[in-house]
Amino acid sequence: MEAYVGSILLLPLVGALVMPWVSKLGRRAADALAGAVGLAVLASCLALVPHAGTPATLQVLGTNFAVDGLSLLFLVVISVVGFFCTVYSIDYIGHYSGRAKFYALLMLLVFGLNGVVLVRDLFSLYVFLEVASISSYVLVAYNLEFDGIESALKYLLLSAVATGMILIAISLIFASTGTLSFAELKAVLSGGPNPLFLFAAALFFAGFGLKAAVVPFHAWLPDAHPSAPAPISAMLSGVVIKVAGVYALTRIFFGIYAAPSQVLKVFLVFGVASMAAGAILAYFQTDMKRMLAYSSISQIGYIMIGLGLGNWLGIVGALFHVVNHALFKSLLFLNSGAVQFRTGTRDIREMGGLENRMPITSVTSTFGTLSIAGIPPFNGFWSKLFIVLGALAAKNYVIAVLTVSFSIFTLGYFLLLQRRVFFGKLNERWRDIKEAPAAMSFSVICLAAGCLLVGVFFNQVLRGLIEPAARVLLGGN
Amino acid sequence: MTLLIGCLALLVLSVVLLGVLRDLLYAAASLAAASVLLSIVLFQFGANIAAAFELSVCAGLITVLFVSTVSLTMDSDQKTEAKLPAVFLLPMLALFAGLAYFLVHWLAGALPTPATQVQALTFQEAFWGQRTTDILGQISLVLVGVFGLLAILRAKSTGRNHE
Repeated sequence: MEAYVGSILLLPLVGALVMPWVSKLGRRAADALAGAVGLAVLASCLALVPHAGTPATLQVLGTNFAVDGLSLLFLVVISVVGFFCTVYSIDYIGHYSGRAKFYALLMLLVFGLNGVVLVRDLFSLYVFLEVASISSYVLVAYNLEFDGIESALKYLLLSAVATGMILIAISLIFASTGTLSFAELKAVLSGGPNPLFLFAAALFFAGFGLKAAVVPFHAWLPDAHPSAPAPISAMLSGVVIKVAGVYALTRIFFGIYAAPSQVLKVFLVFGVASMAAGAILAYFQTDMKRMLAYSSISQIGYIMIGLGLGNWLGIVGALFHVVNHALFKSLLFLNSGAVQFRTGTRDIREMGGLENRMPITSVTSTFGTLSIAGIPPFNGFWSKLFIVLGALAAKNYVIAVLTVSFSIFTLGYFLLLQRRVFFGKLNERWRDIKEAPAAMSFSVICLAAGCLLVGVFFNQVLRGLIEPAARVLLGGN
Repeated sequence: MTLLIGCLALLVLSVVLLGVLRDLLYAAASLAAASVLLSIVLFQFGANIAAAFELSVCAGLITVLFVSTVSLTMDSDQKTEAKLPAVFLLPMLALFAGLAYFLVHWLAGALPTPATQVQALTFQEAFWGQRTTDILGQISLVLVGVFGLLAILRAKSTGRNHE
């Protein structure tokens, strides 16, 4: 297991280090290195899945890292989306300069995210969070256009506020307990309610809530995600907001604070607000990627609701939705990138009838739409079903009705998007456009197949990946 | 003690300047100064690791990223930010001072004695003995900074986005 964990953590770092030299051998060498690193990390994560139920502490370079079911779930999400975004970038990044720098920063982003889920100490979590955050600020601005740089600055400034709150909370915890280790903090904080710990909890929630783009801390996301290059939008929406936000929130509030009922109520309230506000705001967007960005806020709301329910079904649903949202939202962002790559626009009003010109993008986008709307047998159906069943089991009928209603609303605005972009009469401007290049098409086909296969074989995914993670949260390990 | 009070006073001054300066480049310089002063304060308190991190990342890396981005975002004659209405300045300062006073008083009473006595370690012992994970993080942060700067300062492609 040590070898796998070592590969997961260190390969992206080593890959980024050697990328400048490898790229001197040619463009293909840089592509091959980035793809090989992504594939090796993915293979290492998948090799760990059979051990999901057995938590292990490991020494890598004399440093302690730990893997449990929750870490493994997020590692799989990071490596799957990271790999397909890397493959997609082989063709997509061709129209930007600085291919090697892009790959290096993407690998460092993956390294930072992997570090966040492997450490067992609040300060180390903060350090790796900064590695991932700073990489993502630069990647958002990578096109060097005005909107990208402006969005990156907004993202950086708001994230700095979040980081400040997280650091103050860490300082308060350390000052009053003398430790930053998750395991030791859990023992200390279980001693009973303390106003200082509650104050730190509020700071943690606001800080990591901002990273997760939970309403009302979401202002940075609708600008940052559309302005970034498509594979980075997919990474941000599919992975970064989940690891930097949802994972950190669950690790702290379930792992350290042992999820008191007041905290769960806060999760529920902010979850409902995010689900509703994100969906309603998404409906009014005419920018394809901006609509997807608002939809991410809404889907984070579902995850928060599942966690807030606090029962087995709710938590299983939330964790399953983490996996599913990573698959279908990265698919939809990569598809929007393919459309923009060929048409040069993100404005839905200028599109129409692209299904015959871009059939792969159109079909895979339909898969993504059906998944996000929770239509069986696609993956989104099962996670939303578990969340609704969790609400019913908790006798929280209002939440159950709201969850189903906004799922139908999601289907509505995504079908509108699908119709305006791919169906109907072809806009004459796009008469000569072609399907996206091979590497981009390969990535979206694999992700679309993933949405269907995870839905069909949901029981295996549930047993092998989701339930071990849910046991960590409910057992508080 | 005099150094500490002096640093804290200058820190408050540089943060206020950061909020009111109209030139973003000067504001970024003010932020760097605030970070350096905060590092000195942290060293004075014996928080060596936090001080080193603040100095290397916040005063160095983040400032360089800020300055580069600001330089790229606007032409030289546009590098001014909208002036903060002066009428809001005093009430805001009073509000933050009040909040700070309340928080410091509350924290002084609320902070319990640490359950585990924090050992007085030297910088070397703490850095190399206890925080090896963070060294890995620091190395990667420096790498991110280097690649980030190279990416932001690279020549922009003139190629079309679509066919």
